[in-house]
Amino acid sequence: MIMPRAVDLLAREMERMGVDKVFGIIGGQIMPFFDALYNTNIKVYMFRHEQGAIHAADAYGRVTRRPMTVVVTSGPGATNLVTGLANAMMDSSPLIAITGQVPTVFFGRDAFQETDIVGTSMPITKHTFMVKKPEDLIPAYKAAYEISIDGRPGPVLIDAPRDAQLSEIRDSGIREMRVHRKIVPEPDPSLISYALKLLLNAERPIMLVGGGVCWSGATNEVLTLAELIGMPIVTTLPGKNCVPGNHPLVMGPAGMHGRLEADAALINADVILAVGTRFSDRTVGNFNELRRGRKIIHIDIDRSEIGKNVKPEVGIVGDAKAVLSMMIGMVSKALERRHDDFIRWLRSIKESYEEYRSKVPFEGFAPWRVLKVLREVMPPHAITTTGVGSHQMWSELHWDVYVPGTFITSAGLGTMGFGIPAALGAKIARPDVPVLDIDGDGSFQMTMQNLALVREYNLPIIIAIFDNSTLMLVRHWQVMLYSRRIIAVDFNVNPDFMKIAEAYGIEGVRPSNYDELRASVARAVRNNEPLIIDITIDRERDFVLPFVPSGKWLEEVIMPEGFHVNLRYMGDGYGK
Amino acid sequence: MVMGNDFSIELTMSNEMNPLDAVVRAMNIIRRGKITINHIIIDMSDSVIRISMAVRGEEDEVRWVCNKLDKLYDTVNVKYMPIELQVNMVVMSNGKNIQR
Repeated sequence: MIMPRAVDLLAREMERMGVDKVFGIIGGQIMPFFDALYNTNIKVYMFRHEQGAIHAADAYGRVTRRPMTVVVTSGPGATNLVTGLANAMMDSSPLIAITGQVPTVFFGRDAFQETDIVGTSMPITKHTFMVKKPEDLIPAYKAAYEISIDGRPGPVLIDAPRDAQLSEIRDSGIREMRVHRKIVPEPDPSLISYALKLLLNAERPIMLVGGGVCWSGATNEVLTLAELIGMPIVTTLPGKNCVPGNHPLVMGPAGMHGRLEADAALINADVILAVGTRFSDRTVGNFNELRRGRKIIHIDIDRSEIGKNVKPEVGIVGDAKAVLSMMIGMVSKALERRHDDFIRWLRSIKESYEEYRSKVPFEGFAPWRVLKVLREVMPPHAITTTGVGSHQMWSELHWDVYVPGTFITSAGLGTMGFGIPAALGAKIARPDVPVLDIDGDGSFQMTMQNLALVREYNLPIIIAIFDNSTLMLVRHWQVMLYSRRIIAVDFNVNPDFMKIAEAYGIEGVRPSNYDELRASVARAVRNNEPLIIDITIDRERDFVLPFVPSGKWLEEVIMPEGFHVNLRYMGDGYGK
Repeated sequence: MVMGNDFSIELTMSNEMNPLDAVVRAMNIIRRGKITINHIIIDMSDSVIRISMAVRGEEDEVRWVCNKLDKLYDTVNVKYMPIELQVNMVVMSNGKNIQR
C-alpha cells in the first residue's frame, strides 16, 4: 500500500479548508510541498521576490479578512520574509508563512541554506510552529489559520523541515492540536456607563479611530455613536481606512502629517474616546501633552494596548463593535448633546486649508492636485495602496477614502516597497475592483520586479509614481531638522520608468499636464488595463506640510508657507 | 511588609510542541519590558512549563509584560503579585534549611 507524504495530506487538507491559491517562490527545501500541489487545484502565484509575495499576502488578508498562505524555501527565502512578517504584525494583518527547512538531522550544523527562521521571526509574528514530526504538519496549519484571525489578527509562521514534509504517514496518525484561543471579554457595563457619562458631560468630546475599527467591522457603530453625541471623528493613519472621509463628522487623520482640523480636534478635546488604536507617537506626537487636561477612554481588543503608551481614565478591553453597540444602546436613553459650534469651527479650518491649497501657485504637478485628479477618476469603491514616503503622507492628507476598507498602507512599520505587491495582492483578492498604487520612485524601485505578475496572471493594476528623484521624506527632515545638510537621498540617475513599463508589457505614460493624467487613468480604468504613470514632481518644493516634528505636541505644527490658522478653540458661539 | 517595586510573576505555559520555543517567546517579551529580572526559575519537568520570576519595576510595566505574556498562544496562565519581604525567611534547598 502506498502511503501519502505529509505534504500530500496537507495539500489535501488545504483544499478541504477552501484554500485555492498560494503565493510564493520555490526552492530546494520546499520542493516537496510544491510537488504536492501538482495534483491539486491550488493555484500558485509565483512572485519575483519573497518580500513581494508576503506584502501581497498582507494586502490580500486586509481585503478578504482571511489569511493568504505564502510558501518559500529555507535560508534566504525565509529571511526575505522577515520585513513582511514585521509589517503584517505591526498592522495586525492575518497571513500564514510556510518556510522550507533543512532536514532535522542537519539542524544546527550550518547546512546549506539553513537559517533559524523560527528564532528569527518569533518577536515579529503572532505565533510560530517548528514542525519536527510529519504528523504535526496538518495540525500546525489548521492552528496557524485559526490563530492568524483569532482576536487581533496577525502573521503565523510554520517551519517545515524537508524530512518532515516527505515522511509518509497515515491519515489516522494525525493528531489534533489545541489552540488556546484568546477569549475576548464581554464589555463591562459599569465601565461603559462611566465612559458614557464622561462623554455626555464633556465640553468637547472627540473620537479617535484606529485600525482596530476595520478589523472589528465597527464602522457603522463609530458613525452612529458620533452622530448621537455630535462628536467629531479623528483617525490614525490605519484608521483613515475605517471611516468614510466625506462624512461631515470625519476630520481625517491627525499627527505628524495629519489634517489641521484633526489636530485641532485633539488639541481642544477634553474627553477622547479612542477605539482600536495603540496611540502611535506618529498620531499624538507627545504622550505627556496628550494626557494633560484630557480624560481618555480607551477601547481595545488587546489588553496589552490599554495603558501601553497613554494611561486612560477608563480602559475597556473588548471588541470595538460590541462595546460601541452597548454604548449606543445606553446613549439613546440619555440626554443627547450637540457640539455643533465646535464642529463648525473645525470644518472652517478644513475649508480654509482647502482654499489655500486650491490657490497656492505650484509649477508643474502639485501632489495634492494629482491626488484630486486621481480621486475624481478612480471609482469610489476602488482599492488604493501606497508605498512609503512623501507620496504616502500626501495621500494621508489629501486622498479621500469613500468606502471603508479600500485604503491599504504600511502604517506601523513604514515599509518602502509595500505599494506594488500590496496592489497585486488586492487585485488577486478582488479582481473585479480597480486597484491603484500611489507610489514614490524610491518605493517603486524596491519591489518593482514583481511587476512581472501583471501580465503573467492578468492583474491590471494602475501605478502612479510620484517621481521626485529623491527619498523626499528624509530630504524634508534634512532640510528642516538637519540644517539642510542633504546627503544620501537624491537619485541622480533613475531608470527610465517608461522603459521599465515597456519591459513588463505595461503601458507607460509620462503626462505633461493634469488633463493627460486624467485621460490616461480614465482609459486604463475603463478598459481594465494596467498602467504606469510617471508624474514628475519638483523635489525642491515637495515638502509635505503641515508637519509636526517627531516628539512635539500637535500645536507645534509647521504649517505651509503663507498659511496660518489658530488651532486653539476660542469657545462656543463661533460663527454666530 | 511590601517592597517598593518588587514583584513575582508566575507564568504557566503549554509544552505541547517544542516547549523551548514557548520559553524563548516569553523571554522575547520580557527582554523588551522595562523591568529588571532579579531571579528566574524555569521548570520543564511537568506536563506544563512553569516560569517563576522575581522582578523589579513600576507596576504598570510589570502589568504590561504580563498582558503581553498573556497574549501568547502557549500561555495557560500568568499572574503577578507584589513581593512581601519575609523577615527571618527560611529557604528550603537540597533538603537543608538555610537561615537568612
